[in-house]
Amino acid sequence: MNVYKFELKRLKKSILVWGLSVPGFLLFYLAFFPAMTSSGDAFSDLMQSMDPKFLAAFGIIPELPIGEILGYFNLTIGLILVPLAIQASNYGFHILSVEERELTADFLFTKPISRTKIIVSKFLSALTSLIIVDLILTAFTVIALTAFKGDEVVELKNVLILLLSVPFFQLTFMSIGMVISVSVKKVSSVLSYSMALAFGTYVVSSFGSILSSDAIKYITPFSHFDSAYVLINGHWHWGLIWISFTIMIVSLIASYFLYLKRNIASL
Amino acid sequence: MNIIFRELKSNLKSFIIWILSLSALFYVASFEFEMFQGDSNITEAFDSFGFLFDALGGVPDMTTAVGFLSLVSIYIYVPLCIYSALLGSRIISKEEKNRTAEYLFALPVSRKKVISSKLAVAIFYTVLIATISMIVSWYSFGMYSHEPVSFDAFIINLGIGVLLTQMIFLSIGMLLSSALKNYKKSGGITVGFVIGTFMISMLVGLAEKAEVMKYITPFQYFPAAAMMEGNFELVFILITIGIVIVSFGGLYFFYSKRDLHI
Repeated sequence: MNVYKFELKRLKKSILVWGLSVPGFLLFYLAFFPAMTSSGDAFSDLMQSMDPKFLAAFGIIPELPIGEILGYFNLTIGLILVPLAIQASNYGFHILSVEERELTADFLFTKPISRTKIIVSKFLSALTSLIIVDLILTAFTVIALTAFKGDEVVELKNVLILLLSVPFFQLTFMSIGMVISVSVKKVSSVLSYSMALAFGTYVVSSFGSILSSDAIKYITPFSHFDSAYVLINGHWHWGLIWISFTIMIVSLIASYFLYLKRNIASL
Repeated sequence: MNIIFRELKSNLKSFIIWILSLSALFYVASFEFEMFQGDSNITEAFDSFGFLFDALGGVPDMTTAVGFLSLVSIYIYVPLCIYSALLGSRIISKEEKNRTAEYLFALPVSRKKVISSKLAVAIFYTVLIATISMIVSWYSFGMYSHEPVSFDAFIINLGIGVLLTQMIFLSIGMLLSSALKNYKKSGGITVGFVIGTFMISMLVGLAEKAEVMKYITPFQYFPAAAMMEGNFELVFILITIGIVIVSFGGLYFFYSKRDLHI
């Protein structure tokens, strides 16, 4: 419990920064929606008549026109997922490597607690932080959608189903981060790793959707947790999401066993 | 000179990793683009609705190499800017992080000289990564371009635009890591700045009302759409030069009297 509490305290500032900036960005984005609705009725009629594959390249989905709040929200959440992925990979790369980097491993591992307990506490504290941020995000989303929808009728059920997938999306990135951080000899800079992981997969998924490529969809979590699919169909994209879940479970198990056996650098 | 060689060597590994993964990304994208280019549906849509896209203010014809590259250009800008921002913040703060500051500053070289050498290396790698990325994009997308002359001109303009944007982030990264008291924070804040301005830039593209905000996001200073016509706006060039000079000046100013963490 002590390790858990200490880790949570260590992450306090980070929770505060992420928990305010990411939902704040969402609010900021959605605040521009009312100004957009006036133009574009004739335009969206024309959009209906075009080839969906062509429109997809511009991020336009006929079922979710950008002139309606859910269509606009779909674009917004697609971007909001980027910082969320960075946060999760930051934690993933950070929690198991920080003791070695800051030379506190000697202190921690001479305490009468097992490595199992340490890794579980660290994992749970990071998970708690992610969930806190997700809860704030959910609250902000509901508030923003209600405030800016104008006179549209919005079905919040699909939005909530989508937001429910966000913790799992983050957990995927965190577990990949954890397994990489215990596999390499030393994580010298958490940020370079987490930016490469989070932004790299984002860029790959953007290319995938611009090119409407099916092959690319399988390799990046951003496509597995495709927001448009959930908003249209009202359930997760199980055909792809299982890949992320498998990666997550395998990574978590692997990082547990690798961490137990890890040769931890000390002073 | 010794410090320059030393810095070149210690930043080489991350440079190679970045350039290899970026090149692979551009190359695979161009590969996928080839199939996409032949798609008759899209060409037809452009034939029949081309006037509409022109009216909308320049949605590029994405079946050509120039149009496609400008459509995805933000994914050339952002990774390169992340690289430069991280490089700038790391090259300054790494002495304190690796606990080598004590060693370095006990040597008979002035702080100014150390900073100048680090600055030279950072600029060198920034120019190099921009150049190589442009050559890779030129090679991989150029195969599918039917108008080689305008494509070459576009790549050169795009390269200059990317480089100028990178310089902004490089200088800010270096400034922050010399000005902030805690050396650990600079990387995070710099990257937060890159991602924040990236998201604002996407908003500018999305909502017309956000147009005024293009002054606060460097990604809108030299957008690919303007690079297609070689259209560098004077005001943005001046802003860029201003930011870079102020940041580099601040770097020398703050680092000379920095209380190093040992």
